Order: sequence, then structure tokens, then C-alpha cells
Amino acid sequence: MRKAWIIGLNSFKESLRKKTLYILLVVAFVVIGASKAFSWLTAEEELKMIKDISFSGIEFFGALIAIFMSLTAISSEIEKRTIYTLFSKPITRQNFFVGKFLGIVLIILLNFILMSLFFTGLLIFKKSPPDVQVFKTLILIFIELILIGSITLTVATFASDAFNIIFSFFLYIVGHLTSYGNQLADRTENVILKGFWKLLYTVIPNYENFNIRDKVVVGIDVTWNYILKTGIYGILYLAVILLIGSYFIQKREI
Amino acid sequence: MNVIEIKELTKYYYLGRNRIVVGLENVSFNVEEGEIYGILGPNGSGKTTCLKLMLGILYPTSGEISILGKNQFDIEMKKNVGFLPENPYYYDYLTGPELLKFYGKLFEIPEKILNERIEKLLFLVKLHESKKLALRHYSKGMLERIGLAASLINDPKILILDEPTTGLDPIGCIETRDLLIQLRKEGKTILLSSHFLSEVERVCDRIAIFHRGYLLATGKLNELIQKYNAEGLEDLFVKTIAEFDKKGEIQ
Amino acid sequence: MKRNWIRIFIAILLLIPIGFLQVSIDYSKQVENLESQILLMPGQMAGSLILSGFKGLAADLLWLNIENYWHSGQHYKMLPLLDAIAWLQPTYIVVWAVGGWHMSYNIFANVRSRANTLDEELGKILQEIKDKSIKDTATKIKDDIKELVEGLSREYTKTEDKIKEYIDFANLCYKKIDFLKDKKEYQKLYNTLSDLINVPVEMIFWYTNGISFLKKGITYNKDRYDLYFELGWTYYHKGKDYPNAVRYLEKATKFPHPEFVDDVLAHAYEKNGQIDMAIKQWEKLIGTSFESVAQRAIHSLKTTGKFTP
Repeated sequence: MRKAWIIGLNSFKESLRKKTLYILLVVAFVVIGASKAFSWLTAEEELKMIKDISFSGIEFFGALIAIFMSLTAISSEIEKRTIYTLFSKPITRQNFFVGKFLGIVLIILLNFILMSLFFTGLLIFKKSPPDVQVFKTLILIFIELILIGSITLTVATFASDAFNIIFSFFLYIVGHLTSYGNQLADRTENVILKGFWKLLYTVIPNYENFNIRDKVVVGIDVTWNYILKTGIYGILYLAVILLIGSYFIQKREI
Repeated sequence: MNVIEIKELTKYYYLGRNRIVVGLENVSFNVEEGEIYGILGPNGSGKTTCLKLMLGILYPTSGEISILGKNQFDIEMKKNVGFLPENPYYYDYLTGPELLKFYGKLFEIPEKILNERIEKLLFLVKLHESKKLALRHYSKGMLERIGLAASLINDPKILILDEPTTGLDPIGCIETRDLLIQLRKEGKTILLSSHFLSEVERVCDRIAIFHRGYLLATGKLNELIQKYNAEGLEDLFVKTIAEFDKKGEIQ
Repeated sequence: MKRNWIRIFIAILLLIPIGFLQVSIDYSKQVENLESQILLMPGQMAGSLILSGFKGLAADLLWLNIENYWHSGQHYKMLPLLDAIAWLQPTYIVVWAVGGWHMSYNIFANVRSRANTLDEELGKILQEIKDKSIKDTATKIKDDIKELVEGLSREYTKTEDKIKEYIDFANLCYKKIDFLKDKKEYQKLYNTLSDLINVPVEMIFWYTNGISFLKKGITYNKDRYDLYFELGWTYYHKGKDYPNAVRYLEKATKFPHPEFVDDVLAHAYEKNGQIDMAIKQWEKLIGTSFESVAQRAIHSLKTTGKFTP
């Protein structure tokens, strides 16, 4: 684990040097900051605006950052052939893969904290300090971002960058729509089709589980029970993703 | 005593539509402790494939690899191996010492010893003055030298070097050669691949000649020259390859 | 290496507890009202497909346009926007409440103010009419419509039956001036009279639209007091439709609600002739911040049978 951590830290520091990261972060701040511009609305409406824009901004830009940082985590090592030197050291392929994963977690965490702090600052400025519901929403967004990043990382263990980026974005959209597929399954009479939709519903990550922001901004309280269940879902799904990634990194010839 | 034993090592690359490309075919050779062993061959002959198989980067189709009595995936074995890849490229935002420290930590070398060793190695490869320079500002020669330092960070028993003098100027080549001889004196075993024949001639105790994935010849240089009635290494090289191309036989 | 396949095997096995957990999460979503009721309207599914997680944001941006249309008087343009916002985020109570208010109150009042201008204009036109019978007919219609407009703004009940009566009356007025349509010299009179007759019709249109909008909002927010109260209040205050007011205010009290809802219900009972219910309702408010009002109301109702002015 220590070796994975060393690799992860190195990967994190390398990510800090990527220009894409800063461009996305600046755009995110601009978008979140723009939510303050609706001062002609009533206080309640303005607050809703700030929350809607900020939550969506953190989720969307967080996802973009997660995908772009994870995309080249492995392929850049192969392209630059630094992977050969790494694998000649006394580390296993699992050390390498887990290390890369830790690196991504760190970079996602850093960006998430920066954006969340900015958002929280805005709320405090508007004399409406964040309550526990805001905190719950942010927790779930963070778990979602880790999932998104780890999926891109896993796909990178066996596919090209071009395929990976298309697949990652496709899965991001589909992952938000999967619950509608389930509703379709409930309404269908055909057993085979029903089974197919249900299987798809289980296998594809359900990002909507983590989306409580629409409800929180209109004042619906979400219980800790729901947060716990969704958190466990996230962890289990993460385990599935990482196991698949471990399988492919072990198998791969470089 | 053999520190490296390669037995009937074969690597096929399976491309689509039943196309098979031979990476290595039934290659067997041994490297003795304390010698410098050279692998020669034209581009695409399988030299790098052989080295990658030895480091566990590629998986063999068949055959056995034994390094210090362990297989190529053994973690403990890798603690005693140093590797310099061809055209080394590193994390360009790191400085020389930072790179050495990164690799050193992977060997779980205690911090105090690691720091001392980094200082010593930087002097050895003459990069002490460029301590604060980031690797992205290094010249090709400097990258080779820091790579060499990185391969020595764990004070390995075995050094595996893939084209160590590519991109070096004549003085650089001489210095590298002298260093290799010095390391051999210290008891290290060195396996290097190269297509610079003059280098190999001056430094290697024994050689192996590869061509199109096949091992054409192996042994002491002067013995091979006699055997093939060659005038020198270059001639030996040309003759063995020509013979293979004609007959397609393995010696 | 040999045991690499175990990783995939475990990954597949983990999908089983994930599947069960998802079922549990879906159940929690239903119970905690976190589910998006997407398939209630086919169009909503399309919107959700396009916007996925950003519906709330889109709703906000559309809401900005509502303000613009309101301030520039483009009232009719507000309608599709309000529908769109409610479409995107049906649990956003404010949209329904404010939308309903805009329609039943503000636009209603705006339309009503047009009547004064038209009335003045008609006065000037009538001065120049020489034909006595036409002048008398036109003056009668003008006065009747003005009375209807005043009534609608104040005490006229707007129950379904009454609304039908008002519309029938307006249609009758249209018929009476129909003969002027083809007479060139009376074009101005005809057009101005038509516009005036249209005023109460439009007022009623906006009032009923506001009611419908709130009712639609209720279908998405059945388990909250808010929109039942808004609708009940609109029936009570604007529509003077006390039976419906009582109906919806009673529904509002079935959910957690603030005290003023009980207060309004008590008034509504009284206006609806249910004095006993009104007294009972006021009694519920003893011990709350409405206690002093409640005591006076109970006393007044018991002695005179009247409290609400």
C-alpha cells in the first residue's frame, strides 16, 4: 500500500501541472461566481439560483476534471515509457493501478474542496450559511465524481484514449438516465425486454442516486439513511470498477 | 554461476486474421555473475522484447526466465535489479534528485541511506551541478545519465541496460563505457543491448547475436570470430545474419 | 496471474448486492419524495433526457424571463414559460404559487385597468354619435360591462355557474353590437366596444387560468399544504367561491401547516354559511398566536352569527 501511495502522490503532483485542470477550474469558478449576479431576484430566488448553479457546476466541472485527469493517467506513462522503468522496480501491477487510482482521488478531492469552499463562501456572503442538507448533497456529488474518475481509469487499462473519452461521456449521460430505463422496464410486459432493462439498470452506474440537489434546493430534507445507502452503493460499485481495472492491468502487455 | 538463465524463451504476437509475428523464437542463453553480456542485433531483432520479457513487462508465450534463481515477476528479485530503458523519458517536472528519490522510495531504501546515495550517484554521472534543474530542461545525454543513476539507486547486483549509449556524444560514450567496466570490477553483472558494435567489442565479455527473433550465436567474442572465420565483430555480425537469411537455421 | 480471473468473478458477484441495494435506494426515493415523476407527462421525459441532472438550473434560467415578461407587460408569453418551469422542476412550489398569483391577481388587475381607458375613449366616441338608438344601445352596454368589471374586481362570486353567466352575458353583448361590424362609419365604436366587452372575458380567463395552474401544481405536490392553501386562498379572496375555498383549505390542514391556514379556513367556513364549523375551527386556534382573534371570533359568531367583514 505504501508503494501505491508513493505512485499516487507522484501522479497527483503530475496532474497539478496539467493546463486542462486550471482552465476547467477557472471556468467552474466563473460559472459558480456568476450565480451571485442575480441580485434583482428575491432573496429566496437568488439563493435557489446560487445553489442550483453551484451544485450543477461542481458536479459538471468535477466530472470533466475527473474524466480528463483519469484519461491520460495510464496512457501517458505508456507513451512516455516511464511505465517500463516503473515495472522494473519491485512493485506489482496492482501497486501501479491502485497508485494511479489514489492519485486521481487526490486530484478530484482537491478540486472538489476548492469549488465547495468557494460555493460555501458565497452562501455565507449571502447570509445563508450552508446547512446539513447542503453538506449531504456535496458528499454525494463527491462520491459520484470518484466513481466517474475510476471508470475512466479502468477503461484506460484496456482501451485507447479516443475510445475512453467517448465512452466516459456516453456513460456520464446514460448513468443519469438509467432510472428512466428502470421505469420503462416496470411498464413493459415482455419478460425478456424487462429482464434486459433490469440487468442494464443494475450494471450501468446509476448516477441519479447521487443527485439530490433538485430536491434539496426546494427544501426537501434527505435522511442520513438515504445518504448511507447511496454511499455503500458507491463503495460497492467502486470495488467492481477497481476489480475490473485490476484484472485488465494484470493481463495487459505493454 | 549463472545469475540469469533464459530457457527456450518464445514470444509470439497474435495479430488479427491468424497473423502471428515472431518476437522471440526458442531463445536460450545464460549470463554469468560479474560479466558484461552484450545482446546485439539490428532493429526489430528482438533485443528489447527479450529485455521486456525479463522484466515482466511482457508475458512469454513459452519458456522460462530465471534471475537470481527467481522468476521474472518476483518482487524480492527486482530489488536487486536495475534497469535503464531505451530513450529514457521521465516525469519532466521533477528534478534529478527528486526522480532518484521517487524510485528510491519504491525500493524502500531508508531515507538517510537514500540521500547519501543520491549525492554519490549525481557525482558519479556528473549531474551534481544540475541538481535544481527540472528534467524537461535536460539534454538527451543528461537524460541517459540520470537514467543510469536511477538504475543504480538500489545498488543492484544486476544491471539491465537497453541501448545505453544512444544519443550520447563520443565523450559520453567513453565515460559510460568506463563506468560499466568500473561497475563490473565492483562485482555487478551487466546485461546490455546495443547496435553499436564498437561499444560491444570494447566492453563485453560475451555476446549474443539476435536477428528476427532468433538467437544466431552466443559466446565469447574471440571464440565466435574464430568459429565463423570473421575478421572482427562487424564481419561476424554480417556473416551470421547472412547465413541465417540464406538457410534460416539457428546455430 | 493464474488467479486473475477471480477478480472478474468477484466483480460479477458484487453486482448482486448492488442490485439489491439499488432496489432499496429506489424505495427510499419514493418514500422520501426524491423520485422524479418523469413519466407523468411524456414531454417531461424528453426534457429530462436532454437535461439529465440540470433541470433545476434550466428552471432558474427560465424564471428570469418570467420577470422580464411581467415587467414589459407581455403577459401571454408568461404562460408557456410557467408551464416549462413547472415541467422541469414540478416540486418547486414557488413557481406554482407565484405563477398562480400572477395570473389570478396581477394580470387580472392589469387587464381590468384597461377598462377605464376604454371607458373614457367610448365616452368621447359616443358624444359624436347622432343615431339615438345606436347611442343608447352602446351606452347601456358600456355601463353594463363597466358594472361587470367592477363586480368581478370586488364582490362578484366566481363559481363555475356564475362564470358561465358572465360569459353568456358578454356573448349577448357581442351579439347586440354585431350589426355595427359592417358599417364603416361606426367601425371605431364597434372596435372600442368589442375591446371593452373583452375585458371581463379576459379577466375571467386569467382568473380561471390561475386556478388551473395551481391545481396542476397540486398534482405534483400532493403531500404538502402549500398549494392547497394557495388555491383555497384564491377561491376565497379572489373568487368569492366559498365552497371551493373550504374544500381546499380543509385539504391544506391535513398536512403540516402554519397557523394562518387554520385562521383562513375559519373565515371561509363562516363565509360558506358553516357557522358551527367556523366556531369549531376558531376553537382549534385557542392557545396559538391567533388566540385573541379566535376568542373574539367565537364570541361574535355565537352572539351575532357574523365575524368576518
